[in-house]
Amino acid sequence: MTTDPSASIPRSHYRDGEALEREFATVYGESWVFIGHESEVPAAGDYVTRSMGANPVIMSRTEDGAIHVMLNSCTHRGTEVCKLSYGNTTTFRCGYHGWVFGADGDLKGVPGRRSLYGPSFDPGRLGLRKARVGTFCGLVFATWAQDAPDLVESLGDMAWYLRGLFELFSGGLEVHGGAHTVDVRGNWKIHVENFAGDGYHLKNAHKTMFDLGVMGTQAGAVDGFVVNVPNGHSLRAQYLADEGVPEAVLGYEDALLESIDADEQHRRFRERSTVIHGMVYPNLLFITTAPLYFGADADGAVAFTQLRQITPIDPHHHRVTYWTLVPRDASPEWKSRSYLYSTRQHGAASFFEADDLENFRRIDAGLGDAVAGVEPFNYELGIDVAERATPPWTGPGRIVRQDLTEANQRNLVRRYLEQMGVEG
Amino acid sequence: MSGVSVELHHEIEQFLFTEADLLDTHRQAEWLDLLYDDFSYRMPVPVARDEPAQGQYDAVLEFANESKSFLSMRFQRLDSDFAWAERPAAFVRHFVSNLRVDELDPGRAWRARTNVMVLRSRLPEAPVIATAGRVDRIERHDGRLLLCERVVHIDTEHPNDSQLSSIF
Repeated sequence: MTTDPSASIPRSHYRDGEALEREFATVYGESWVFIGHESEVPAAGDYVTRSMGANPVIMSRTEDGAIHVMLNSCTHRGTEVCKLSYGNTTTFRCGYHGWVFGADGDLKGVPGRRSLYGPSFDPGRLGLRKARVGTFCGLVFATWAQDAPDLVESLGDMAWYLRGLFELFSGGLEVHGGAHTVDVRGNWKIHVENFAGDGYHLKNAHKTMFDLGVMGTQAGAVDGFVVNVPNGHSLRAQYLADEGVPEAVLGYEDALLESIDADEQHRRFRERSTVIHGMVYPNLLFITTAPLYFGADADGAVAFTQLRQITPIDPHHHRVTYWTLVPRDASPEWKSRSYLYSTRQHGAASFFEADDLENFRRIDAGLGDAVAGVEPFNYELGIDVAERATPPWTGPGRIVRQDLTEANQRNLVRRYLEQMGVEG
Repeated sequence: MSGVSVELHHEIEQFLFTEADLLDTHRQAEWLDLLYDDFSYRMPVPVARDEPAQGQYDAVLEFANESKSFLSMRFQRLDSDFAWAERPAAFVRHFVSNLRVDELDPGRAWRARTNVMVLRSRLPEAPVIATAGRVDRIERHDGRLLLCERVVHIDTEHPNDSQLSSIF
């Protein structure tokens, strides 16, 4: 029985610029923030540009194989030194006065240095501001907090689940194509808590998808569970309830299934699963699904895995960066098909997504002001309700044997309130 | 005149105007009837590259990749009271211009390039405008013009979801 008390973020934190400034300083400033995937910068000199809270950053790889994340801002006047989405380079040259930085962010050249700057000028202290970088299962995170616990410690028991999601196949996963972004209405936290474990909205918000028969195995008899760990991370996992279904990970080529290189519990975490989605606090979202149905032209359905990074633009808008991950060893045909499914089901222009984005903007439109809009959102779902089925795997973290519960959202809210230093 | 006759140019232009009107007036079934069975609709993702000559659209990433059967499902859902994002319907207005026609297969298939501006307005969002270049493949089957393929090149690297939610 789940008996944890409810908690809620003040409504004002969904509309106030002041709250957002504090979030940038604490939630984004102190946490490990997801930046991208190792496979996006496979070679020395490769780079991508990304957001890290309010900051534009560059993720690059140097000759020694190391991955760097640094502020995309010249140390002379603050100009962005790179305007491109991705590329390969040995240097970043500022377009204003021509200061040149290496792929590791070090200041390499200053026009007129010998004649225009004095003898005490020290380029060594004028490199691009560098973040600490940590990688786990191919996922690259960065933090500005030099004294924060390391990435693995910060992930805690979530690490076990990330291994099950991103290290199931021996060849690992890679990004298909690259990343793209879409701006949407609504406070960033709304999107994050949706992925954290909201199974409750599915049959209402996405009712038309069930009615159209698009939802595949998710529409049948299923058992769902949610898992949360300290530091705010969580996931929701759903499985076919029919014991007669073969024990296999759904939607992959046979050769790939044979390449699964995972222990028994990690395999059981993935086998017969219809959907697993969740979030790494504060703003990495993930979802992997069994095949869905997308019309006669899309027969031969396959699974897909999508990542999203959520970045606040202002209190009422956020930017979503999307990636589709595919097993590195899958066939090219399988990879394209998986990408197609990812686009049709969870692309920003898809009609499934439209229902969620519509609710996010309706929340934003309904926030009210400091006089009337003060009642906090309700997070009591699942409290004092008996737990049900038994999960097929044994793993760490707090496993709640309920599909429809807001235990994960409460976990997220508690972490947020703690970091922001406010009362729920 | 784009290498085709004035009459044909006019016929294709009128076809595209009618097609846009059906979208603007929510006559989805009639719009679907203008599509060839293996119609494909794709919207590649814009990218900021180093060299202007490298092209401004990604070869792999797509905002949308839809087929006639998939679009039929999308429209079928409008009959439901639960199509939250479609009820009430948005105000949508297409402006179609700069038509250039190239013949692909004499008397049978043409490439029609147009510039489009699509306005979409639906509360609580402010009205949004998106512009794009379209490359269509149009074919004549049993005397009727049909739309076989549409590729949409949207003119912004950071679109918002309202800009993406209309059919261009």
